Amino acid sequence: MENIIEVSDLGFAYNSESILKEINFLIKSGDFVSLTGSNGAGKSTLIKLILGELSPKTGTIKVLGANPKEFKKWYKVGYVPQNGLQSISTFPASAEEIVQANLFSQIGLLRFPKKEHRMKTQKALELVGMSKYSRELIGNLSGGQQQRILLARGLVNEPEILILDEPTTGVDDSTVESFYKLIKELNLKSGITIFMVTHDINRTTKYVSRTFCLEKGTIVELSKDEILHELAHKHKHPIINGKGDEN
Amino acid sequence: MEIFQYAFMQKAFVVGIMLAVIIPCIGIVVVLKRLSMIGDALSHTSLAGIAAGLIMGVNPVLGAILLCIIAAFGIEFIRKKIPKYSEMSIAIIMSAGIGLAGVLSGFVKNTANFNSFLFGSIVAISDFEMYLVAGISFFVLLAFIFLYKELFYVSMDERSARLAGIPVNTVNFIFTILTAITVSIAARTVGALIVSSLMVVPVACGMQFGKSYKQTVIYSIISAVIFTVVGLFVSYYRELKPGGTIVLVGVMTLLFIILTKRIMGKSLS
Repeated sequence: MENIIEVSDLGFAYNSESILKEINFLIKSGDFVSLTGSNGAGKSTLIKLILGELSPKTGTIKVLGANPKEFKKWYKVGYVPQNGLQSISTFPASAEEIVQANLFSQIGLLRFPKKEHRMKTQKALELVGMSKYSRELIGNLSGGQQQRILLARGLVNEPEILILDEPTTGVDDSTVESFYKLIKELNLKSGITIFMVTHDINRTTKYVSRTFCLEKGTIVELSKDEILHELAHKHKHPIINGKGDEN
Repeated sequence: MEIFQYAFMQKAFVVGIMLAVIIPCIGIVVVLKRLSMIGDALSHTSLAGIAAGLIMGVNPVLGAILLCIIAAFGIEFIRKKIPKYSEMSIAIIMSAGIGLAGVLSGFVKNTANFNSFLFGSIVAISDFEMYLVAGISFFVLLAFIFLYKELFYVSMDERSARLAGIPVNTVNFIFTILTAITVSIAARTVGALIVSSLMVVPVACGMQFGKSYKQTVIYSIISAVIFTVVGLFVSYYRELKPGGTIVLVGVMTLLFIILTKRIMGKSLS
């Protein structure tokens, strides 16, 4: 199986404050990985490093075999941002426009979308069950539906990996479960690798294949048994037991 | 119609409509990037350029364009230096612009000419200025059409836009120049003190009706054109200042739309 994200001996510090130290993990093609940890544990910093917005102080990161700073094929990486709903819920755009925006690399600079791009947009909306809302103003949709639109935007380029940063923040509780089911379905049917940052380990455990926990700047991989044991006995990892800071 | 017998009014309509088309194009991006105050900062700074132009004997609009471009990049520079308090950059440049305009205005011999820029003088536009507005409007409109999808994505989510391959810094750079030159030429017509209203009010109206980004842009342009035409008519027949009248027509229309929607919403529920 192909290596999708490789992180070796990664260290990062803001000024002299160490945020991440000796981080090692490997995400392979087809994995469904969740990353959990309390606020300030360094999850957002790790995402920024993977997306090439920050440079590691020590160690290396490889995304699809390349250093993120030199990586050019970002269309192979689907991304669903943290607090994405905040930025789009008041944005005067239709679902279709929001999804199509991500086809930039296929449409090209200073060019206009063609029929094939509109078809790809429809396909991505169908994949998340939102095709009948394509002409709807995003602000008229529910939080759960808006999150599906963001997911369709991340999927429209048929990426190899989908990175989701706390995707259920702001989504009402009743639709969260169906959102996770949808991600799992994409992972199984389309074979897309999933890397999801979440606080919601209680609910995600049954869907993911691997769970990483980031605490005090270091990362540990937890087995399903460990998570279930922790959930049952409520000690050691406060984040697992829902005692971590909520966003 | 009597109003169209005068060449100055014909010019006012031509220039007004051209500006009404391009100002909302810039305005929608400014509003969606939550930078509504940038128009104010640039238009106030343009006064310093106008004063400098009048002192040096060059066309004041050209002076305004030059200083606005410098100010726009100044805002971007300060924003990057203090990202946590980025809104301060607008206040700093606006203060510097007003300060400079205040000092330079003391050296302007023809103060009436300088004052005409405060509230605009669309009916006193020279042929050169009309051609300048036409050229710049064409350039801004063309840039907006070709950068339509790039500006849309950058306004919505810069990080995702960068990941999608959009050269975000270049797009922002071009947009900064477009904003600066649009504000400068608009300052001459509607006035430096109210140019940002014309940037925001039509967009606010467009957002009341638009069911998509494209529709919002189109409705914003239509609103701006209507405000300009109605404003010019009202100002001509009621002998009012055109710049202020255009903006007031826009604000009253916006209030009417918001109130009507609220009343209709209540009666439906």
